[in-house]
Amino acid sequence: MDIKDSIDSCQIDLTRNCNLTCSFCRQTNESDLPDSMSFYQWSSVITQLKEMDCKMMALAGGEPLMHKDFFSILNLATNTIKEVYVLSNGTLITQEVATRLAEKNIKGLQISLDAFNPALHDKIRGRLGTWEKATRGIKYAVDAGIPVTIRTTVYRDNVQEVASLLEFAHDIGARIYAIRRVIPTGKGGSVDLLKPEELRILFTSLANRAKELNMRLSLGDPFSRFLLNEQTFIEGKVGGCSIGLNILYIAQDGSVLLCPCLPIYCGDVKQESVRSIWRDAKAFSIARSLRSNLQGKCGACKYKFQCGGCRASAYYSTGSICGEDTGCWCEP
Amino acid sequence: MKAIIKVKNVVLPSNFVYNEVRQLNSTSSCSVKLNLSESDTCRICCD
Repeated sequence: MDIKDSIDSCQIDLTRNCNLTCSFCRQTNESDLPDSMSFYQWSSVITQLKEMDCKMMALAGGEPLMHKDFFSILNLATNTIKEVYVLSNGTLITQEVATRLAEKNIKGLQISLDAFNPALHDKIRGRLGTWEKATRGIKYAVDAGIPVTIRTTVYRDNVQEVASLLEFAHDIGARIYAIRRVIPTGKGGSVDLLKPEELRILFTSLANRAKELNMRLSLGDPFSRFLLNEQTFIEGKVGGCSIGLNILYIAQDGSVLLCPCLPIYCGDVKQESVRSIWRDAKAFSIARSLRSNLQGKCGACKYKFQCGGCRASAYYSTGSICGEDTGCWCEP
Repeated sequence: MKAIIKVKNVVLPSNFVYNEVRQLNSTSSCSVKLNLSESDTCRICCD
């Protein structure tokens, strides 16, 4: 099937509102887009996505649980889309909320945890008591039978915490431990990023330990997945960065953007159908043509069709959407 | 997030060629060796 006819997955940011002020947040809290989508407009979007064979949806934010219609939208989504995930900071997940989420049969709940040290997590997340609330939320969710992913966004300040977090995720009963480096967008542009070799050592160590624990590990960066996996290169296979290929991102005001971390405007679901934006937006045409136009080491890399690097990382570090992903350790 | 970028302001290389990928092929074998998540494509997720 032509990729213009279907969308595999979609992330919806329901709200910019959040009860935390994280040091690397892609939302800056200054120029954020307003929450201007009604329940009925979200309802229409979800229906349109179903018609385009969308199989996965992630409800995010901000903190999605702060949206006044969160459970109504979740109910609609879980009745319409096969796999629905909720991406949360975990602090608002009480026993009652966990039970309600479990009743909706969500496919997964991702809760952010950036340090095993409570004080450091609280510092990164900008509010005292966040670690305690987040870990309590994780426990409630696990006990309710929800598949939980613990997610860490890693940079210089918390790199020493990651090994402990993997063990914690395993011990508390999380289904997946997920990690990704900070992408330098929003406030993420002002933190100290890890160098490629540091990422390689970190991810290799994590992968080895996850194997020993029989713990599922999700490495968010396109390159890390198969560079560590020794995946066989197959000519013609396309994977990695998904912008314009099989994933759609809609912000809280209905704007369709290439990616949460790369806010290139594609259209507005309040003005146009999802299908017409997906098929005809020039930004998507550019995104679908990127693999043939990559530059630097991404352009020279034999994995460029399987990976493509992170285009947001490339854009903010080189100024070009076609530039090389400077976080990748691969030297073609 | 940073300000919305209008597509007309995205600077493309002078030799940029519109050559759209039209088929996405699954390479789900990557989930085997390391117990990675099912999809080999970049799943957007919140920070």
